[in-house]
Amino acid sequence: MSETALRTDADFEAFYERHWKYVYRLCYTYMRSEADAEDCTEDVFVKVLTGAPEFQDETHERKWLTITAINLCKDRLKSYGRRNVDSLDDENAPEIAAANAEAEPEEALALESEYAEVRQAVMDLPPKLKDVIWLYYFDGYSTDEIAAMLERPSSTVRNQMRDARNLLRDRLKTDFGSEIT
Amino acid sequence: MNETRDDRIRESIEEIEPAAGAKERMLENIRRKAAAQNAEPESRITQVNTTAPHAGEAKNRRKNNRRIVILRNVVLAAACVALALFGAVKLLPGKPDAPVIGTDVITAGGTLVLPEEAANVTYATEDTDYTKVSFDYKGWKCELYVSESADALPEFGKESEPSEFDAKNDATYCELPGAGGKYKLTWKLSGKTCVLLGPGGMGTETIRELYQKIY
Repeated sequence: MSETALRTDADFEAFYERHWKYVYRLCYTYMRSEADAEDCTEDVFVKVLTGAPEFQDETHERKWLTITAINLCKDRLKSYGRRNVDSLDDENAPEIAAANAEAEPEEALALESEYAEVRQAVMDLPPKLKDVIWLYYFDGYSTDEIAAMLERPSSTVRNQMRDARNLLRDRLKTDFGSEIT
Repeated sequence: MNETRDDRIRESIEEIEPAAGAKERMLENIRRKAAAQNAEPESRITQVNTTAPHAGEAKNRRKNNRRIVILRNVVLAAACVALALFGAVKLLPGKPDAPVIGTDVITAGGTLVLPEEAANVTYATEDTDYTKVSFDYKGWKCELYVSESADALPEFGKESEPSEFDAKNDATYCELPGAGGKYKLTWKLSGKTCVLLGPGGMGTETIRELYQKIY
């Protein structure tokens, strides 16, 4: 596919429509506050508008957005000095979709609480471990692809993946037990 | 890797929903911020052109410019040295991504022979943990990972339930839905663990033919 640039307003709107929610979720996972997540999401798309990058296809778009958003969030966290924020304030929490609306209320509640626990465990990971977990579990990249994207040696990515899994296992053992190995 | 756990991580993130009206609000802010950024450089230029600098300021500016030129030259020289070193390392035999002559490939833990039909063969050894061999087989782009220990191999993403491919060598076959429908064949060869990845379109017969020709 030939390279395409977002030349018109309509091009950009279609691009925004395709990716805004993904970028927001990624930013929220790092920033842990709705206002900061929105601000970072906006800045990622501002970079698209002002930098006018040319994309080969949708996969390329997504990769570009992922790396840009991760770097932007980390820079923002450094400048805020917010790396040690412990918990998410309720007033900053975004709306969480009702888990499986078709399930029985009790099942839905249990699932929702499980999701909240997993999400919090992922958000509490150090940023460099969060990168690999996001790219591996959410985007489905292999460790070699992640290494290329983050410009880290493959062995480092594998070690970070192991460290992240260990942290998640320690945190979630009550509910997940032997599932995490 | 457990599929339920993988799904839970993904699903828990997918549950995050932006606030009502966030989409439109952010789009508006994006346009406003982009317009402000585009306007900024012009206004700065105008300001510089219309304000005459004091003599002291001009002197300081010249001094700073000289410093910038020196710094730029130092950075350029360092970049040249780094490039020369990088080029030299890449061209040394046996280094990552070196082209292979013939069909013998030196891997982590021994030598391996690819089929005669293998073309464009390159290989790279990752921290002596495993060797990745890339090659074309009858027009199909394939990757072969060889390691002395299965634990040292990279993760390839989500996998379908593995099925037996060849009991003799503990060969199993599965698909990687996250990697654009690639297949993954894993087997033991002279104590080494081999993983062959290729496009799903290759078909089982071609995969088996390739598998039997690697020794």
